[in-house]
Amino acid sequence: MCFSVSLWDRIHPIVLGLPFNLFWLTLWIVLTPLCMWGAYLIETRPSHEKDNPPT
Amino acid sequence: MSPSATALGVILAIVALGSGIGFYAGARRKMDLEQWTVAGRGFGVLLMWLLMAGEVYTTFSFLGASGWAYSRGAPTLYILAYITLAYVVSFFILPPIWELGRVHKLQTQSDFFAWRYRSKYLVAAVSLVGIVFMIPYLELQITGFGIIAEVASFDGIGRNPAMLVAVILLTGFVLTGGLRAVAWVSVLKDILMLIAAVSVGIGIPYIYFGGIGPMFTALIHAKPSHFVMPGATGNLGHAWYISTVLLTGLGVYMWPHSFGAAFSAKSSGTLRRNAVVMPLYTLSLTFMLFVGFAAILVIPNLRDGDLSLLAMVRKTFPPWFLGVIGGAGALTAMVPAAILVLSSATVFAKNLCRPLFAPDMNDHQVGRIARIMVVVISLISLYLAIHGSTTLVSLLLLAYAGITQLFPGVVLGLFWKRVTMPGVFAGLTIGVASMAILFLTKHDPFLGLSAGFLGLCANFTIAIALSLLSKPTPQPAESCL
Repeated sequence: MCFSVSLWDRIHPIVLGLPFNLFWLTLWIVLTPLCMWGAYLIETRPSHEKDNPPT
Repeated sequence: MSPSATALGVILAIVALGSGIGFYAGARRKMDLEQWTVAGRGFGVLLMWLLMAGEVYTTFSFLGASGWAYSRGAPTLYILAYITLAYVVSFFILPPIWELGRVHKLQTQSDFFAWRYRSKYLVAAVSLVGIVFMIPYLELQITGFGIIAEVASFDGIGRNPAMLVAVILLTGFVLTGGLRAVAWVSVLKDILMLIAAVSVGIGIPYIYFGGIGPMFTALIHAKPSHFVMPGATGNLGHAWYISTVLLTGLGVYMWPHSFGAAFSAKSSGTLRRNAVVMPLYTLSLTFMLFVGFAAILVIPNLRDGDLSLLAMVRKTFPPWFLGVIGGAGALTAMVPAAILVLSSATVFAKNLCRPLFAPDMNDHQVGRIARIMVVVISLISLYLAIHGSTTLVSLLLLAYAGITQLFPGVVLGLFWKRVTMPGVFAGLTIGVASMAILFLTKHDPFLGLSAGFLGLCANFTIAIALSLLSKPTPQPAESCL
Protein backbone atom coordinates (compact mmCIF):
# COMPACT_ATOMS: atom_id res chain seq x y z
CA MET A 1 0.00 0.00 0.00
CA CYS A 2 2.75 2.40 0.88
CA PHE A 3 4.19 2.29 -2.63
CA SER A 4 0.97 3.64 -4.08
CA VAL A 5 1.89 7.20 -3.10
CA SER A 6 2.48 8.36 -6.65
CA LEU A 7 -1.02 7.18 -7.58
CA TRP A 8 -2.85 9.30 -5.01
CA ASP A 9 -0.48 12.21 -4.52
CA ARG A 10 -2.43 14.52 -6.84
CA ILE A 11 -4.78 17.44 -6.63
CA HIS A 12 -7.54 16.27 -9.00
CA PRO A 13 -10.18 14.98 -8.72
CA ILE A 14 -11.20 17.28 -5.89
CA VAL A 15 -13.42 15.28 -3.53
CA LEU A 16 -15.59 17.03 -0.92
CA GLY A 17 -13.60 20.17 -1.59
CA LEU A 18 -10.29 18.55 -0.62
CA PRO A 19 -7.34 17.94 -2.92
CA PHE A 20 -7.28 14.25 -3.69
CA ASN A 21 -4.22 13.40 -1.56
CA LEU A 22 -5.69 15.05 1.52
CA PHE A 23 -9.04 13.36 0.91
CA TRP A 24 -7.37 9.98 0.45
CA LEU A 25 -5.48 10.17 3.74
CA THR A 26 -8.51 11.43 5.63
CA LEU A 27 -10.52 8.58 4.20
CA TRP A 28 -7.97 6.10 5.54
CA ILE A 29 -8.09 7.70 8.97
CA VAL A 30 -11.77 6.73 9.04
CA LEU A 31 -11.30 3.32 7.43
CA THR A 32 -8.43 2.25 9.70
CA PRO A 33 -10.56 1.95 12.87
CA LEU A 34 -13.04 -0.17 10.91
CA CYS A 35 -10.28 -2.53 9.79
CA MET A 36 -8.84 -2.59 13.30
CA TRP A 37 -12.22 -3.38 14.71
CA GLY A 38 -12.38 -6.35 12.38
CA ALA A 39 -8.95 -7.44 13.58
CA TYR A 40 -10.10 -7.00 17.17
CA LEU A 41 -13.13 -9.24 16.62
CA ILE A 42 -10.93 -11.92 15.07
CA GLU A 43 -8.37 -11.74 17.89
CA THR A 44 -10.95 -11.98 20.67
CA ARG A 45 -12.93 -14.88 19.21
CA PRO A 46 -13.67 -17.53 21.84
CA SER A 47 -11.15 -19.95 20.30
CA HIS A 48 -8.38 -17.44 21.03
CA GLU A 49 -9.09 -17.17 24.75
CA LYS A 50 -6.81 -15.13 26.95
CA ASP A 51 -4.17 -17.76 27.71
CA ASN A 52 -3.21 -17.95 24.08
CA PRO A 53 -3.02 -14.50 22.54
CA PRO A 54 -2.14 -14.80 18.86
CA THR A 55 0.98 -13.01 17.76
CA MET B 1 -8.18 45.69 29.28
CA SER B 2 -5.66 45.52 26.48
CA PRO B 3 -6.01 42.61 24.04
CA SER B 4 -2.76 41.03 25.18
CA ALA B 5 -3.78 41.17 28.85
CA THR B 6 -7.10 39.48 28.04
CA ALA B 7 -5.46 36.75 25.99
CA LEU B 8 -2.71 36.11 28.53
CA GLY B 9 -5.21 36.19 31.39
CA VAL B 10 -7.30 33.44 29.79
CA ILE B 11 -4.20 31.35 29.03
CA LEU B 12 -3.00 31.73 32.59
CA ALA B 13 -6.40 30.72 33.96
CA ILE B 14 -6.44 27.59 31.80
CA VAL B 15 -2.90 26.61 32.78
CA ALA B 16 -3.73 27.23 36.44
CA LEU B 17 -6.87 25.10 36.17
CA GLY B 18 -4.85 22.34 34.51
CA SER B 19 -2.12 22.44 37.13
CA GLY B 20 -4.80 22.50 39.85
CA ILE B 21 -6.34 19.31 38.52
CA GLY B 22 -2.89 17.77 38.35
CA PHE B 23 -1.90 18.71 41.87
CA TYR B 24 -5.23 17.47 43.20
CA ALA B 25 -4.99 14.15 41.40
CA GLY B 26 -1.43 13.67 42.61
CA ALA B 27 -2.00 14.77 46.20
CA ARG B 28 -4.70 12.24 46.97
CA ARG B 29 -2.36 9.28 46.82
CA LYS B 30 0.81 8.27 48.53
CA MET B 31 3.62 8.31 46.00
CA ASP B 32 5.92 5.35 45.94
CA LEU B 33 8.02 4.67 42.87
CA GLU B 34 5.44 2.42 41.22
CA GLN B 35 2.64 4.90 41.83
CA TRP B 36 4.73 7.80 40.54
CA THR B 37 5.83 6.05 37.36
CA VAL B 38 3.05 3.65 36.31
CA ALA B 39 0.24 4.89 38.57
CA GLY B 40 -0.18 1.52 40.25
CA ARG B 41 -0.95 -0.22 36.91
CA GLY B 42 -4.69 0.49 37.17
CA PHE B 43 -5.79 2.61 34.22
CA GLY B 44 -8.94 1.58 32.38
CA VAL B 45 -9.89 2.37 28.79
CA LEU B 46 -10.86 5.96 29.51
CA LEU B 47 -7.81 7.09 31.45
CA MET B 48 -5.59 5.06 29.17
CA TRP B 49 -7.07 6.72 26.12
CA LEU B 50 -6.56 10.11 27.70
CA LEU B 51 -2.99 9.35 28.64
CA MET B 52 -2.12 8.08 25.19
CA ALA B 53 -3.82 11.00 23.48
CA GLY B 54 -1.98 13.20 25.94
CA GLU B 55 1.26 11.78 24.69
CA VAL B 56 0.71 11.69 20.98
CA TYR B 57 -1.09 14.98 20.49
CA THR B 58 1.53 17.48 21.48
CA THR B 59 2.46 21.01 20.54
CA PHE B 60 3.79 19.38 17.47
CA SER B 61 0.29 18.58 16.23
CA PHE B 62 -0.98 21.91 17.45
CA LEU B 63 1.58 24.29 15.99
CA GLY B 64 4.04 22.16 14.06
CA ALA B 65 1.54 20.53 11.69
CA SER B 66 -0.04 23.81 10.63
CA GLY B 67 3.44 25.32 10.52
CA TRP B 68 4.65 22.80 7.98
CA ALA B 69 1.38 22.99 6.06
CA TYR B 70 2.12 26.68 5.73
CA SER B 71 5.81 26.54 4.93
CA ARG B 72 6.27 23.13 3.26
CA GLY B 73 2.88 22.08 1.87
CA ALA B 74 2.09 18.51 0.81
CA PRO B 75 4.95 16.68 2.62
CA THR B 76 3.11 17.58 5.84
CA LEU B 77 0.54 14.96 4.92
CA TYR B 78 2.95 12.37 6.27
CA ILE B 79 1.63 13.32 9.72
CA LEU B 80 -1.86 11.99 8.97
CA ALA B 81 -0.40 8.71 7.78
CA TYR B 82 2.20 8.04 10.46
CA ILE B 83 -0.06 8.53 13.45
CA THR B 84 -2.65 6.20 11.95
CA LEU B 85 0.03 3.63 11.19
CA ALA B 86 1.32 3.92 14.75
CA TYR B 87 -1.97 2.68 16.19
CA VAL B 88 -1.99 -0.27 13.85
CA VAL B 89 1.50 -1.14 15.12
CA SER B 90 0.38 -0.67 18.72
CA PHE B 91 -2.47 -3.13 18.24
CA PHE B 92 0.06 -5.89 17.62
CA ILE B 93 2.92 -5.05 19.95
CA LEU B 94 1.43 -3.45 23.06
CA PRO B 95 -0.73 -6.35 24.31
CA PRO B 96 2.21 -8.82 24.45
CA ILE B 97 4.35 -6.15 26.09
CA TRP B 98 1.67 -5.54 28.69
CA GLU B 99 1.39 -9.25 29.34
CA LEU B 100 5.15 -9.50 29.95
CA GLY B 101 4.99 -6.45 32.17
CA ARG B 102 2.33 -8.00 34.36
CA VAL B 103 4.08 -11.35 34.69
CA HIS B 104 7.58 -9.99 35.29
CA LYS B 105 6.77 -6.73 37.10
CA LEU B 106 8.25 -4.50 34.41
CA GLN B 107 7.75 -0.75 34.73
CA THR B 108 9.78 0.76 31.93
CA GLN B 109 11.06 0.00 28.48
CA SER B 110 14.53 -0.56 29.90
CA ASP B 111 13.08 -3.17 32.26
CA PHE B 112 11.84 -4.97 29.18
CA PHE B 113 15.29 -4.94 27.57
CA ALA B 114 16.89 -6.02 30.84
CA TRP B 115 14.53 -8.93 31.15
CA ARG B 116 14.73 -10.02 27.51
CA TYR B 117 18.45 -9.64 26.83
CA ARG B 118 19.95 -9.85 30.31
CA SER B 119 22.70 -7.31 29.73
CA LYS B 120 23.08 -4.19 31.79
CA TYR B 121 25.22 -2.62 29.08
CA LEU B 122 22.50 -3.02 26.47
CA VAL B 123 20.01 -1.57 28.95
CA ALA B 124 22.32 1.38 29.55
CA ALA B 125 22.63 1.93 25.78
CA VAL B 126 18.87 1.72 25.29
CA SER B 127 18.25 4.10 28.17
CA LEU B 128 20.81 6.53 26.85
CA VAL B 129 19.24 6.52 23.38
CA GLY B 130 15.85 7.10 24.97
CA ILE B 131 17.01 10.02 27.09
CA VAL B 132 19.11 11.67 24.38
CA PHE B 133 16.35 11.64 21.77
CA MET B 134 13.67 12.71 24.20
CA ILE B 135 15.51 15.98 24.58
CA PRO B 136 14.69 17.33 21.09
CA TYR B 137 11.10 16.24 21.65
CA LEU B 138 11.03 18.12 24.93
CA GLU B 139 12.74 21.08 23.32
CA LEU B 140 9.88 21.09 20.81
CA GLN B 141 7.28 21.38 23.57
CA ILE B 142 9.12 24.16 25.33
CA THR B 143 9.58 26.08 22.08
CA GLY B 144 5.85 25.67 21.43
CA PHE B 145 5.06 27.19 24.80
CA GLY B 146 7.33 30.10 23.99
CA ILE B 147 5.59 30.67 20.65
CA ILE B 148 2.19 30.71 22.35
CA ALA B 149 3.21 33.32 24.90
CA GLU B 150 4.90 35.36 22.22
CA VAL B 151 1.84 35.51 19.94
CA ALA B 152 -0.75 35.81 22.70
CA SER B 153 1.05 38.76 24.28
CA PHE B 154 1.11 40.48 20.87
CA ASP B 155 4.90 40.14 20.96
CA GLY B 156 5.06 41.83 24.39
CA ILE B 157 6.65 38.83 26.09
CA GLY B 158 9.75 37.41 24.52
CA ARG B 159 9.94 33.73 23.67
CA ASN B 160 12.82 33.07 26.06
CA PRO B 161 11.27 34.36 29.31
CA ALA B 162 8.09 32.47 28.42
CA MET B 163 10.05 29.27 27.98
CA LEU B 164 11.70 29.79 31.36
CA VAL B 165 8.30 30.14 33.04
CA ALA B 166 7.12 27.01 31.24
CA VAL B 167 10.05 25.01 32.55
CA ILE B 168 9.47 26.17 36.13
CA LEU B 169 5.79 25.25 35.97
CA LEU B 170 6.61 21.95 34.36
CA THR B 171 9.11 20.79 36.94
CA GLY B 172 6.84 21.81 39.81
CA PHE B 173 4.01 19.90 38.24
CA VAL B 174 6.01 16.74 37.61
CA LEU B 175 7.71 16.69 41.01
CA THR B 176 4.44 16.82 42.91
CA GLY B 177 2.06 14.84 40.73
CA GLY B 178 3.69 11.98 38.84
CA LEU B 179 1.86 10.10 36.11
CA ARG B 180 -1.66 10.20 37.53
CA ALA B 181 -1.58 13.99 37.59
CA VAL B 182 -0.58 14.01 33.96
CA ALA B 183 -3.41 11.73 32.85
CA TRP B 184 -6.05 13.87 34.50
CA VAL B 185 -4.78 17.11 33.04
CA SER B 186 -5.07 15.38 29.68
CA VAL B 187 -8.83 15.42 30.15
CA LEU B 188 -8.93 19.21 30.12
CA LYS B 189 -6.29 19.39 27.44
CA ASP B 190 -8.08 17.05 25.05
CA ILE B 191 -11.45 18.73 25.41
CA LEU B 192 -9.90 22.13 24.75
CA MET B 193 -7.84 20.87 21.88
CA LEU B 194 -10.83 19.28 20.14
CA ILE B 195 -12.81 22.49 20.54
CA ALA B 196 -9.86 24.45 19.22
CA ALA B 197 -9.27 22.15 16.26
CA VAL B 198 -12.86 22.02 15.08
CA SER B 199 -13.76 25.67 15.66
CA VAL B 200 -10.60 27.06 14.17
CA GLY B 201 -10.24 24.46 11.43
CA ILE B 202 -13.78 24.99 10.15
CA GLY B 203 -14.23 28.61 11.21
CA ILE B 204 -11.22 30.09 9.50
CA PRO B 205 -11.88 28.64 6.01
CA TYR B 206 -15.50 29.84 6.25
CA ILE B 207 -14.62 33.34 7.40
CA TYR B 208 -12.04 33.98 4.70
CA PHE B 209 -13.15 31.82 1.80
CA GLY B 210 -16.77 30.86 2.47
CA GLY B 211 -15.96 27.19 3.05
CA ILE B 212 -13.31 24.49 2.90
CA GLY B 213 -13.93 23.66 -0.76
CA PRO B 214 -13.65 27.27 -1.95
CA MET B 215 -10.51 27.67 0.16
CA PHE B 216 -8.75 24.81 -1.58
CA THR B 217 -9.97 25.98 -4.98
CA ALA B 218 -8.41 29.37 -4.31
CA LEU B 219 -5.22 27.81 -2.93
CA ILE B 220 -4.80 25.37 -5.78
CA HIS B 221 -5.31 28.20 -8.21
CA ALA B 222 -2.71 30.37 -6.47
CA LYS B 223 -0.08 27.76 -5.66
CA PRO B 224 -0.70 24.41 -7.36
CA SER B 225 2.77 23.03 -6.66
CA HIS B 226 2.31 23.47 -2.89
CA PHE B 227 -0.29 20.69 -2.82
CA VAL B 228 1.58 17.77 -4.28
CA MET B 229 4.85 16.43 -2.96
CA PRO B 230 7.52 17.71 -2.72
CA GLY B 231 5.48 20.88 -2.09
CA ALA B 232 7.55 23.91 -1.25
CA THR B 233 10.61 21.75 -0.56
CA GLY B 234 13.06 20.52 -3.14
CA ASN B 235 13.86 17.15 -1.68
CA LEU B 236 10.87 15.75 0.22
CA GLY B 237 9.32 13.59 -2.47
CA HIS B 238 7.52 10.26 -2.46
CA ALA B 239 10.49 8.20 -1.32
CA TRP B 240 10.94 10.57 1.59
CA TYR B 241 7.26 10.33 2.39
CA ILE B 242 7.22 6.52 2.46
CA SER B 243 10.41 6.19 4.46
CA THR B 244 9.36 8.86 6.94
CA VAL B 245 5.90 7.41 7.50
CA LEU B 246 7.43 4.01 8.18
CA LEU B 247 10.16 5.41 10.40
CA THR B 248 7.90 7.56 12.54
CA GLY B 249 4.94 5.18 12.53
CA LEU B 250 7.11 2.36 13.88
CA GLY B 251 8.75 4.75 16.31
CA VAL B 252 5.73 6.15 18.15
CA TYR B 253 5.57 3.31 20.65
CA MET B 254 9.33 3.13 21.04
CA TRP B 255 9.33 6.25 23.18
CA PRO B 256 10.11 5.15 26.71
CA HIS B 257 6.96 6.94 27.87
CA SER B 258 4.59 5.50 25.25
CA PHE B 259 6.05 2.07 25.78
CA GLY B 260 5.80 2.57 29.54
CA ALA B 261 2.20 3.76 29.22
CA ALA B 262 1.29 0.26 28.08
CA PHE B 263 2.19 -0.98 31.55
CA SER B 264 -0.38 1.34 33.13
CA ALA B 265 -3.31 -0.36 31.40
CA LYS B 266 -5.64 -2.62 33.32
CA SER B 267 -5.68 -5.36 30.71
CA SER B 268 -4.35 -6.15 27.26
CA GLY B 269 -7.90 -5.83 25.93
CA THR B 270 -7.85 -2.18 27.03
CA LEU B 271 -4.83 -1.62 24.81
CA ARG B 272 -6.43 -3.35 21.83
CA ARG B 273 -9.65 -1.37 22.12
CA ASN B 274 -7.57 1.77 22.43
CA ALA B 275 -5.75 0.97 19.22
CA VAL B 276 -9.09 0.57 17.46
CA VAL B 277 -10.53 3.96 18.44
CA MET B 278 -7.43 6.13 18.61
CA PRO B 279 -6.97 6.70 14.85
CA LEU B 280 -10.18 8.74 14.81
CA TYR B 281 -8.50 11.33 16.95
CA THR B 282 -6.13 12.00 14.05
CA LEU B 283 -9.00 13.71 12.26
CA SER B 284 -8.41 16.73 14.46
CA LEU B 285 -5.04 17.11 12.74
CA THR B 286 -6.73 17.51 9.38
CA PHE B 287 -8.36 20.64 10.79
CA MET B 288 -5.03 21.96 11.98
CA LEU B 289 -3.71 21.54 8.44
CA PHE B 290 -6.63 23.60 7.09
CA VAL B 291 -5.54 26.54 9.23
CA GLY B 292 -1.95 26.31 8.02
CA PHE B 293 -3.14 26.21 4.42
CA ALA B 294 -5.52 29.14 4.93
CA ALA B 295 -2.67 31.20 6.34
CA ILE B 296 -0.81 30.88 3.02
CA LEU B 297 -3.23 33.28 1.36
CA VAL B 298 -4.33 35.32 4.38
CA ILE B 299 -0.99 36.10 5.98
CA PRO B 300 1.80 35.38 3.51
CA ASN B 301 5.40 36.20 4.44
CA LEU B 302 5.35 35.04 8.07
CA ARG B 303 8.93 34.79 9.26
CA ASP B 304 8.26 31.46 10.97
CA GLY B 305 5.67 28.96 9.71
CA ASP B 306 5.17 27.61 13.23
CA LEU B 307 3.50 30.90 14.13
CA SER B 308 0.83 30.45 11.45
CA LEU B 309 -1.97 28.86 13.51
CA LEU B 310 -1.84 31.35 16.35
CA ALA B 311 -1.26 34.32 14.08
CA MET B 312 -4.38 33.32 12.14
CA VAL B 313 -6.39 33.00 15.35
CA ARG B 314 -5.11 36.36 16.55
CA LYS B 315 -6.03 38.01 13.28
CA THR B 316 -9.48 36.44 13.08
CA PHE B 317 -10.95 36.11 16.56
CA PRO B 318 -11.34 38.32 19.66
CA PRO B 319 -8.51 38.24 22.23
CA TRP B 320 -10.36 36.05 24.74
CA PHE B 321 -10.67 33.35 22.10
CA LEU B 322 -6.99 33.66 21.31
CA GLY B 323 -6.59 33.03 25.03
CA VAL B 324 -8.65 29.83 24.87
CA ILE B 325 -6.70 28.52 21.90
CA GLY B 326 -3.43 29.61 23.49
CA GLY B 327 -4.43 27.91 26.74
CA ALA B 328 -5.25 24.71 24.88
CA GLY B 329 -1.90 25.00 23.17
CA ALA B 330 -0.10 25.63 26.44
CA LEU B 331 -1.59 22.46 27.91
CA THR B 332 -0.72 20.46 24.79
CA ALA B 333 2.84 21.56 25.44
CA MET B 334 2.79 21.00 29.21
CA VAL B 335 1.20 17.55 29.35
CA PRO B 336 3.55 15.78 26.94
CA ALA B 337 6.51 17.72 28.29
CA ALA B 338 5.64 16.51 31.78
CA ILE B 339 5.43 12.93 30.56
CA LEU B 340 8.73 13.24 28.70
CA VAL B 341 10.56 14.67 31.68
CA LEU B 342 9.04 12.18 34.05
CA SER B 343 9.97 9.14 32.04
CA SER B 344 13.43 10.24 30.96
CA ALA B 345 14.31 11.08 34.57
CA THR B 346 12.98 7.73 35.79
CA VAL B 347 14.88 5.87 33.11
CA PHE B 348 18.07 7.70 33.98
CA ALA B 349 17.84 6.92 37.68
CA LYS B 350 16.50 3.41 37.49
CA ASN B 351 18.04 1.93 34.37
CA LEU B 352 21.20 3.89 33.72
CA CYS B 353 22.49 5.09 37.06
CA ARG B 354 21.52 2.26 39.41
CA PRO B 355 22.70 -0.78 37.44
CA LEU B 356 25.98 0.78 36.30
CA PHE B 357 27.13 2.80 39.29
CA ALA B 358 25.26 1.89 42.46
CA PRO B 359 23.55 -1.49 42.30
CA ASP B 360 22.58 -1.40 45.99
CA MET B 361 20.46 1.75 45.82
CA ASN B 362 16.97 1.37 47.20
CA ASP B 363 13.77 2.64 45.56
CA HIS B 364 13.70 5.69 47.74
CA GLN B 365 17.15 6.82 46.58
CA VAL B 366 16.25 6.07 42.96
CA GLY B 367 13.21 8.29 43.39
CA ARG B 368 15.38 11.09 44.71
CA ILE B 369 17.80 10.90 41.78
CA ALA B 370 14.86 10.83 39.37
CA ARG B 371 13.53 14.03 40.90
CA ILE B 372 16.92 15.73 40.56
CA MET B 373 17.10 14.59 36.94
CA VAL B 374 13.68 16.13 36.28
CA VAL B 375 15.27 19.51 36.93
CA VAL B 376 18.48 18.76 35.04
CA ILE B 377 16.76 17.44 31.90
CA SER B 378 14.32 20.36 31.85
CA LEU B 379 17.19 22.83 32.02
CA ILE B 380 19.13 21.13 29.22
CA SER B 381 16.06 21.27 26.97
CA LEU B 382 15.47 24.89 27.88
CA TYR B 383 19.05 25.70 26.95
CA LEU B 384 18.66 23.97 23.58
CA ALA B 385 15.29 25.61 22.95
CA ILE B 386 16.80 29.05 23.51
CA HIS B 387 19.70 28.38 21.15
CA GLY B 388 17.91 26.25 18.55
CA SER B 389 16.37 27.68 15.43
CA THR B 390 14.81 24.82 13.50
CA THR B 391 11.11 24.14 12.79
CA LEU B 392 9.01 22.07 15.19
CA VAL B 393 8.56 19.29 12.64
CA SER B 394 12.31 19.05 12.03
CA LEU B 395 12.88 18.61 15.76
CA LEU B 396 10.36 15.81 15.83
CA LEU B 397 11.89 14.10 12.81
CA LEU B 398 15.31 14.18 14.46
CA ALA B 399 13.85 12.72 17.63
CA TYR B 400 12.15 9.91 15.70
CA ALA B 401 15.22 9.11 13.62
CA GLY B 402 16.91 8.25 16.91
CA ILE B 403 14.19 6.60 18.92
CA THR B 404 12.99 4.24 16.18
CA GLN B 405 16.40 2.54 16.35
CA LEU B 406 14.98 0.72 19.40
CA PHE B 407 12.32 -0.93 17.25
CA PRO B 408 14.35 -3.96 16.09
CA GLY B 409 15.29 -4.81 19.67
CA VAL B 410 11.68 -4.68 20.80
CA VAL B 411 10.03 -6.47 17.91
CA LEU B 412 12.67 -9.16 17.46
CA GLY B 413 12.71 -9.59 21.22
CA LEU B 414 8.97 -10.13 21.29
CA PHE B 415 8.48 -12.34 18.28
CA TRP B 416 11.77 -14.05 17.42
CA LYS B 417 13.29 -16.51 19.88
CA ARG B 418 16.60 -16.66 18.04
CA VAL B 419 17.57 -12.98 18.47
CA THR B 420 20.65 -12.41 20.62
CA MET B 421 21.98 -9.57 22.72
CA PRO B 422 25.13 -8.89 20.61
CA GLY B 423 23.00 -8.67 17.47
CA VAL B 424 20.62 -6.13 18.95
CA PHE B 425 23.43 -4.15 20.56
CA ALA B 426 25.44 -3.91 17.32
CA GLY B 427 22.33 -3.09 15.30
CA LEU B 428 21.39 -0.31 17.67
CA THR B 429 24.88 1.16 17.67
CA ILE B 430 25.21 1.10 13.89
CA GLY B 431 21.68 2.43 13.42
CA VAL B 432 22.18 5.39 15.72
CA ALA B 433 25.67 6.08 14.42
CA SER B 434 24.67 6.06 10.75
CA MET B 435 21.63 8.26 11.35
CA ALA B 436 23.71 10.65 13.45
CA ILE B 437 26.41 10.91 10.77
CA LEU B 438 23.82 11.66 8.08
CA PHE B 439 22.16 14.30 10.26
CA LEU B 440 25.39 15.96 11.35
CA THR B 441 26.72 16.13 7.80
CA LYS B 442 23.34 17.53 6.71
CA HIS B 443 22.55 14.57 4.47
CA ASP B 444 18.95 14.19 5.57
CA PRO B 445 17.18 13.20 3.37
CA PHE B 446 19.85 10.99 1.79
CA LEU B 447 19.17 9.67 -1.76
CA GLY B 448 15.59 10.81 -1.25
CA LEU B 449 15.09 8.63 1.82
CA SER B 450 14.90 9.84 5.40
CA ALA B 451 18.20 9.33 7.21
CA GLY B 452 16.55 7.67 10.20
CA PHE B 453 14.98 5.10 7.90
CA LEU B 454 18.35 4.20 6.39
CA GLY B 455 19.70 3.82 9.92
CA LEU B 456 16.78 1.55 10.75
CA CYS B 457 17.45 -0.66 7.71
CA ALA B 458 21.12 -1.02 8.69
CA ASN B 459 20.03 -1.70 12.25
CA PHE B 460 17.64 -4.51 11.29
CA THR B 461 20.08 -6.12 8.87
CA ILE B 462 22.89 -6.22 11.41
CA ALA B 463 20.68 -7.35 14.27
CA ILE B 464 19.35 -10.29 12.27
CA ALA B 465 22.67 -11.25 10.68
CA LEU B 466 24.64 -11.16 13.93
CA SER B 467 21.90 -13.01 15.80
CA LEU B 468 22.10 -15.81 13.28
CA LEU B 469 25.90 -15.89 13.51
CA SER B 470 26.17 -15.76 17.30
CA LYS B 471 25.45 -18.63 19.66
CA PRO B 472 21.77 -18.90 20.61
CA THR B 473 21.09 -17.92 24.21
CA PRO B 474 18.77 -20.16 26.21
CA GLN B 475 15.50 -18.35 26.90
CA PRO B 476 12.91 -18.95 29.58
CA ALA B 477 10.00 -20.81 28.03
CA GLU B 478 7.56 -17.91 28.30
CA SER B 479 9.87 -15.33 26.76
CA CYS B 480 8.13 -15.30 23.41
CA LEU B 481 4.40 -15.06 23.26
